[in-house]
Amino acid sequence: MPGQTLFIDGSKVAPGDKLCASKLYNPGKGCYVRGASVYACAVGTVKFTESKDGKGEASVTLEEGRQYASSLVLNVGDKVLAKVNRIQVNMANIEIVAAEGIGTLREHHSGIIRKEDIRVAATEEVNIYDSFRPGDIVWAKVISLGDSRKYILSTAENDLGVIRAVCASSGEIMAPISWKEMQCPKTGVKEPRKCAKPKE
Amino acid sequence: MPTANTVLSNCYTPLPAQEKGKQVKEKKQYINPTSRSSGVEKNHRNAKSIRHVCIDRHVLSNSTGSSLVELGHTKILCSVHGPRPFNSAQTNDASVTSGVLSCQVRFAQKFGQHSEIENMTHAKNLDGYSSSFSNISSQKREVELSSRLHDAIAPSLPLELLMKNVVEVFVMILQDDGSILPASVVAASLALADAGVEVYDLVSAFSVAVIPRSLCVETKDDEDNAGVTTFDNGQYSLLADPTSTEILSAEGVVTMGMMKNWKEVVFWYQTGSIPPNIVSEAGELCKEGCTAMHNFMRQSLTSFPDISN
Repeated sequence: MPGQTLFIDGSKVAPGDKLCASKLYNPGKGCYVRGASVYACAVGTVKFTESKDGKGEASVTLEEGRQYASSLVLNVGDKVLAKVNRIQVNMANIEIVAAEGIGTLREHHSGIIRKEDIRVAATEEVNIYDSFRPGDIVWAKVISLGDSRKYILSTAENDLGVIRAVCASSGEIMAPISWKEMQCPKTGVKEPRKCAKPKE
Repeated sequence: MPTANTVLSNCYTPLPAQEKGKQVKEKKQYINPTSRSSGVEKNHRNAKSIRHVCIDRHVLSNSTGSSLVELGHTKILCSVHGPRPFNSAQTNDASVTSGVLSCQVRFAQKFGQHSEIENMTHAKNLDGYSSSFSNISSQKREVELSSRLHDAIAPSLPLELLMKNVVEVFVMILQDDGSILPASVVAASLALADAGVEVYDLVSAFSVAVIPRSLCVETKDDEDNAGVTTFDNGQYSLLADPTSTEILSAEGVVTMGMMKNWKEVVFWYQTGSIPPNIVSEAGELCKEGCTAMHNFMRQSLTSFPDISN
């Protein structure tokens, strides 16, 4: 809708700039609604996308090489890549290094996987030592933001679990042979793990 | 538009060297409101004009966002880190439902303050309190400034978007020649925007000093100032963007922070005893100053190169 916006498509905006009326456009990334107008909340180039049902969307694209601060924040349900640091009797302490949709995190967040969140069934019989070892790389899902220090993660899904583990005796990277075991290609030693279903 | 005759220019000018062993003058200095020093010797400014402003952003490569703000000899460097997880020291005010803004102001060691000015400001406290805290240390000023900066910046941040994360703002005062609080607020707001942190609006801030008439000397013969009318309120005159010498002679200082697009005042800090009608006039002058500062900030933020695609 030409003439309906205060900035032309592709112009540079600063936080707080009034972009358009909120009845004509929905706020997209980098925009917010206050009163009857859509405002920018970041520095970048503004983009107005029209849609067929009449109400378009206004969004702000950041400069090259910048990321929205809020996009680096983990939410419940996010799939993350983490490294096991330490195992205890009832939980594993892990360090989140990357997340799906975000990429590598600038700084590592700490989290825990509780014993009852490791496998889908048989939560009573699960043994931490038979599921993870320090140094393993796992796919996990954020199930709670936990307390102020740690995220609470879960691997209770088929495609979640250990994806990379090193054999204790040979130092080789092991391959999964079943849902609960991994084998060293060199020595043939089998070690118990909560394996992630390999991707085809 | 305010009568500010400022241009964006780099203005690195060193202060004159201090003689060692020189006696510290406690005497209040006379101020000439129609011809004030502007940081650059040849240019003089009137009571309502700002010093030379220099604003730059993304000056530090290791921080997420950074900015450099200069008002005459006042030089502020600000860097923003984050969002990052809490460290153990910050877990006290940590919360799961919202993020945390942490502000730290530091004076550059040995360079931050003029030794003479330092002694005098310590005797009079921050921005012209005449009070009993005679020996307020540089550290206490840092704590005070950090908390003021937090108060000024916090309303512009939607912290609920940054759950379990902290955004850290570090302000380094490279040189202090008055108006460090407004300059720090401007620098912090710019650096946050530069870092890609969502902010509702830019916070611009400005200081006005209230000088007793008895300390003012007027020069009427100056041709440049022939048409200039100073704020004449009988007993007081108002000076925009005061330097530290002007703050020392001032009866009080008013600092205001504004979110200009929202037309809202987010921060008001006033020291000294000033009559109410003078305060409201100082507020008006602050508002004009904030608008001018906001224009500079916006100009600096929107002057990035075009994305090629």
